[in-house]
Amino acid sequence: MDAEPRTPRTRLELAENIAGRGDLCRRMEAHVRHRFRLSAPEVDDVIQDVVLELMRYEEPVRDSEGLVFRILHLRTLQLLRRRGVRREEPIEDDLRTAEDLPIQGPDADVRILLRQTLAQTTPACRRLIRAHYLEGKTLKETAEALSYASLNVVWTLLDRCIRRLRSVLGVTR
Amino acid sequence: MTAPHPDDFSLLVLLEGEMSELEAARLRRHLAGCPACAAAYREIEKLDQTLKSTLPGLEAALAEPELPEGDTFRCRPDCVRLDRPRPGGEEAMREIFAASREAAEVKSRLLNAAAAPEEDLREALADLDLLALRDRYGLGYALDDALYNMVEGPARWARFGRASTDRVLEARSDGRAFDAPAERAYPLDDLLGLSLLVDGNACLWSGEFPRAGRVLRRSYAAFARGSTSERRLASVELFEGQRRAFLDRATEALHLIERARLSFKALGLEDEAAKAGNAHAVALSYLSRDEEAIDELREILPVLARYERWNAYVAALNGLGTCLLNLGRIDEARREYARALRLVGRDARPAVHAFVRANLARTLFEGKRYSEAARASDEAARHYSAQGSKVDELTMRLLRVEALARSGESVRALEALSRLSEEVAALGAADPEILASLEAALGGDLPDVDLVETLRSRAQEQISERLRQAV
Repeated sequence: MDAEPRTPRTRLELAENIAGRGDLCRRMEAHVRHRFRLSAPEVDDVIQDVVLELMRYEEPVRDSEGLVFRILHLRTLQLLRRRGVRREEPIEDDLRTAEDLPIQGPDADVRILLRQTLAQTTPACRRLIRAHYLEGKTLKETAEALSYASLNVVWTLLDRCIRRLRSVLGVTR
Repeated sequence: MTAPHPDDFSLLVLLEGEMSELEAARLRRHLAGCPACAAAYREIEKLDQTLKSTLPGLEAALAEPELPEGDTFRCRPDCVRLDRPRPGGEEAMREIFAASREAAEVKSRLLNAAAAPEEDLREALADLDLLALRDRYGLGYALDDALYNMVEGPARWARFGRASTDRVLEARSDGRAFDAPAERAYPLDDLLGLSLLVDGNACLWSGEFPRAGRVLRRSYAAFARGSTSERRLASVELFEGQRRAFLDRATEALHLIERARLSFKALGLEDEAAKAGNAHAVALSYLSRDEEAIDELREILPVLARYERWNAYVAALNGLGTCLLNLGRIDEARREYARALRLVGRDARPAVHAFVRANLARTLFEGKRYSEAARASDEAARHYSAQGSKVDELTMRLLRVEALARSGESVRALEALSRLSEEVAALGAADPEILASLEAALGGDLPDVDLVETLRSRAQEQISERLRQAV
């Protein structure tokens, strides 16, 4: 393989850099293990996903590390949203702190995860969240305002909403 | 008798103190004796705190109104193929990188074919082996180029998108396509989504809105089956939002465009977010929320300039000019254009500079500042002439004629028309009768400006049609 470029300029260079398991790759692995408690196979999956996503575009990269970590972030959150399970297994390798993360802290993870989850929930769920948490309505007022014939149906829909949010947000610190 | 385990919503109702005392007491007794439900209650408490602290910054994600029931774009598709088998170890990754490098030649060939007659394009696409990753990358990169350069030739890219869609669908019908190793690195459904996206975007340019809608829905579904890339899905949402704005469904447009913009921001794609901001401002303007649109456009213009996305920059500038015009703030519009002209140097970016001048002329004209519009269109015509952009030059000269007529300078208007007519006749760019009628309309004590407007418009169409075909 060619020598590792010091500062990747194209997505291909960046992808090769990561696949070469150099410093950038190690920091990516540490980041997802530390923050999201992914298992080793899941870490490999997500990082490979990042590489494959990079390869599908040809445009030059402006902020290579920022881009990589953002894609890594979003792909990890997609995985977690899909699985919705809090990981309790111990971390297998030495715990390394993700340093110089170009973007955001744990609150930002929650914001992104919540935004993505809300984008994929039902309108009834979003109405519940908006009415109760932003407009200050009681839960019962909100339930009554949803235009379904049966309160049982409403209750089930809202229960499903809360369960989904609990399972998804329960995985972040 | 053991109390039933409460559902999550009941726990939230308890937490919020909205349960009757009797019910609450019964539930608390249950929690005291049920570790699993007690743990669930603690998680609901944490969820509640999280929502309270995080949601105020996420109002856009909960924006009203939602898209109607049954709308394809109501919810963004969830990731459906997370468990797709990955390409294996180092050797497989090396092959992927090699395929990407070799794809440059494929991409180049396809882009050349896109500018050639349709048969040549279809032949070039038929030569692709879409079981092979190299060719998938080549086609994908070429389609991305088409999206990036859409403004340069929507008709050409529409053809390319449609022909690519046909080719990809043909490949999909091959039973081996989804089992090929290439499928893991670049799903065929992603290629299908991208071809349809190019087609859909081109339809927006040509005003084929119903077709655009059908094609963009299919694109969305294809990306959902493929890699579910957030960026790709956001791109579809952005175009669909623009389509709905054009169709006077601006409220839905705002919802979709904002969703797309949040994704671009999350990916750090500032220029794409700025383009989405432009679309957002257009939708606001359709809702007569011009002040908000102006604020937004002023924020995004420097971003587009920084990333040298000049086509988008000019579009945003025009949007700003229009909004200011709507509010009667012509002088402010003129200052914005003047600022843009200083930024976009005549020597460094002559085409963009000329375009900005032309749009300044149009804005002044729409604002009934006819004398200024006449001067501005004269300047713009000179710049276009220097670049050899004949159609644009003649368009500006026609605009100048009408501007002079409307500002009461009929004699100068006739002189300008006379010089213009000679050149148009020499080029065969418009029917002589139209120009003769224009001359007649300008004559007499009081020019018939309404007739001048109609004839100018007709002459402009003919010039555009005949000279662009000749190129």
